[in-house]
Amino acid sequence: MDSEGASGVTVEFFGIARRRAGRTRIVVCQGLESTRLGDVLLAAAERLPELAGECLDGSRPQDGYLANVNARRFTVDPDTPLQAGDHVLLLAADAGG
Amino acid sequence: MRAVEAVVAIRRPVVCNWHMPTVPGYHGQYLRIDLSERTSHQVPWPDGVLRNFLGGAGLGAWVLRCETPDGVDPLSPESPLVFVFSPLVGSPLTTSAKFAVLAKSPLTGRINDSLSSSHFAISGKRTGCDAIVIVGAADGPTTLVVTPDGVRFESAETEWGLGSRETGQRVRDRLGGERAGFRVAAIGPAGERLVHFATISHDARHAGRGGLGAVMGSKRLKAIAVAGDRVVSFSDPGRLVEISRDISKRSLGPATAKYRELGTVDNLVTFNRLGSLPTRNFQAGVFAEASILSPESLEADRDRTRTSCAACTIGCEHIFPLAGAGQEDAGGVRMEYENLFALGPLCGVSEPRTVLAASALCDELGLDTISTGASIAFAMECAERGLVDIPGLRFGNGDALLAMIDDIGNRREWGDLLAEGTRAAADRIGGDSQSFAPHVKGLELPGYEPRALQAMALGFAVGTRGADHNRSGAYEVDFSPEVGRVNAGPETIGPVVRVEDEAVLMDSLILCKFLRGVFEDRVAGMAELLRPVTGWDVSPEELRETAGRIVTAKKAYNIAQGWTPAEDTLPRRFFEEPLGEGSRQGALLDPDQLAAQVRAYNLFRGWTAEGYVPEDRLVALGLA
Ligand code: SF4
Repeated sequence: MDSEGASGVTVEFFGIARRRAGRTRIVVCQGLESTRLGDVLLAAAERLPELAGECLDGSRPQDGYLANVNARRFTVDPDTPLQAGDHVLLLAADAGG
Repeated sequence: MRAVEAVVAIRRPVVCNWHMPTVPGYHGQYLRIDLSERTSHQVPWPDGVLRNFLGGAGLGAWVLRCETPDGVDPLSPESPLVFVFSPLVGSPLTTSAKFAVLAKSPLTGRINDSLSSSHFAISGKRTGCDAIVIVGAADGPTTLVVTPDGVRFESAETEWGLGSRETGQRVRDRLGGERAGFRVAAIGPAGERLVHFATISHDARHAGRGGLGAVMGSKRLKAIAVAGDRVVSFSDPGRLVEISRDISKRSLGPATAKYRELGTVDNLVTFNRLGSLPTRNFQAGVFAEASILSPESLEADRDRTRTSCAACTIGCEHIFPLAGAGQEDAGGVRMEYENLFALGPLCGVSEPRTVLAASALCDELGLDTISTGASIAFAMECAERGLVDIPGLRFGNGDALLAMIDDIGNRREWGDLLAEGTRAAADRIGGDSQSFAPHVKGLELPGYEPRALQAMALGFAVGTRGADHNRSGAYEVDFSPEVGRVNAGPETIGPVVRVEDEAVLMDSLILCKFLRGVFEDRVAGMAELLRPVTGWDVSPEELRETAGRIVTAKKAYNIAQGWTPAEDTLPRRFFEEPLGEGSRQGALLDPDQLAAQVRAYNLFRGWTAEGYVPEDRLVALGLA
């Protein structure tokens, strides 16, 4: 948890998601104590339509993309529970280099 | 038929049918060149070998196992150097213009296969063979000129000492320029001086890992030029074109957008956020200045251009100009995640201009950027701990980094020791330096922090060529919801084997790994495209068995060259020093857990728990 995201969930963008979002992060679901990944992604999509078109598929990451909670757990499950202050990282599933 | 006799005499009884009809996609033979004798012969593939080993890394493992005497010194004339093409080379399939180079590595003493790309693969296959095996050593600097008419042995006296790029250009000019169509693979000064992580380069691309350039240099072979007009037939050209079109179309979709738009340099900021970016010789998993090396920052003051290997629709190569804005053009350098991490955060260097210059210098000298960066980072830590006295060599000192790269490439002073790799350097430096020398089996770790990526840690430990992300690919398991990337249990084993199998098939066919996202089921996809090439009714199940055979063949090679179970582990640092900061703070590898995973991996592969291959397994796979 950090002060910036304390009143919501921070979505951080990496790679193509960062390009499409045109920013590095966004805070959504403010005012909620708890929520789920699907609602966070829907809220991000509403504010960033270019991101939604390529990187999201409704309440899930698009094929080829992954979400990660607090830089620890990877998931694509829209029912993943989240708390205010959590960080969701949206990134390409292909990490090869 | 001296070559055939040599093959059979050196190793393994194989059932041979030397008059087999040629399989579509192949020429049905390999070219065996003896530099000492200045002779060459075509050798037909024994019956079944092509289907069992496919091409590239797989077929190379078969022929290397046949040709390598047990216990051979990798830099002796008897040690073979093998260039292998694949059945897909010359087809319209995107990213298929690739070749594999194999030899016993001077860095590890184990099998080493490195892949490279572009026109050398196409022209090499057009000489009329599926592989080129080189044994012996020349009397003086030599260029091999290979065409369908035979092999010429030309002096390379005037190229000796030059960089690989200039060598390639000079050889091409001498052989008739653009119109003659020769393509050239060459070594730089590091290969000539037998630096144990010297590369073989073609068209600014490198067969980079494991010191194959030193093997070439030990044969006094400066360059190989190939050209020809021998094309292979395909079993069902119409279907092949159809599949190729479909894959090309998908290769321009979202699965490869990252590679096209940003390149792999983008991994750096992602890995940093995940606490997985090796920093200051693996002392940390985050680098405070990582954002300075992000694609956006690199682009801010230099206009990036994009290029690609031959026959590739993706084009992941991002070239950054060496000169700053307003300066005279100084050429460009191809940046990827691995050279960026190794010459940047691993050495504590964040100045973009220095990292680009360091990478360009490695290319010019013919040095593997990962092993170079890791060797220097290791020396920096030794210097900071007072184990060595190397003035100025400290983390973050970009000038010292550049000077040491030059010293390694030219084997000067401390560079002469580091040119042997971190394992050998630690043996000489002593103290507890071996505990933080970042290698497995002698091969330096790539840019994946194993305490934060513990499936990758297993992949590093069991990798037949050492610590390696391209042959194992286990980071894919870490970067997935499949298992937890820290403290994962036995559920890790199946996925780690699966991605290793997929990688070995891609490396044998040879397709670019960056294409993997376009296949819904990679093995089924590869079976589908192999059918119209060869006419074999190959199923995904057969390909999975083929993958297991190739991995086991590499393992059997290593056992014959002296492998012991104690090699399948990681440096002590990763068991004793928890990660200090970042999202994986406190992460540590458990030695007992890793050892248990290694045993489980071995059993999964059908080997003994210690990792030896039982005779009945060798027989079942046709490897006895
Ligand atoms: S994706 Fe990149 S590395 Fe792969 S074949 Fe294309 S240009 Fe070469």
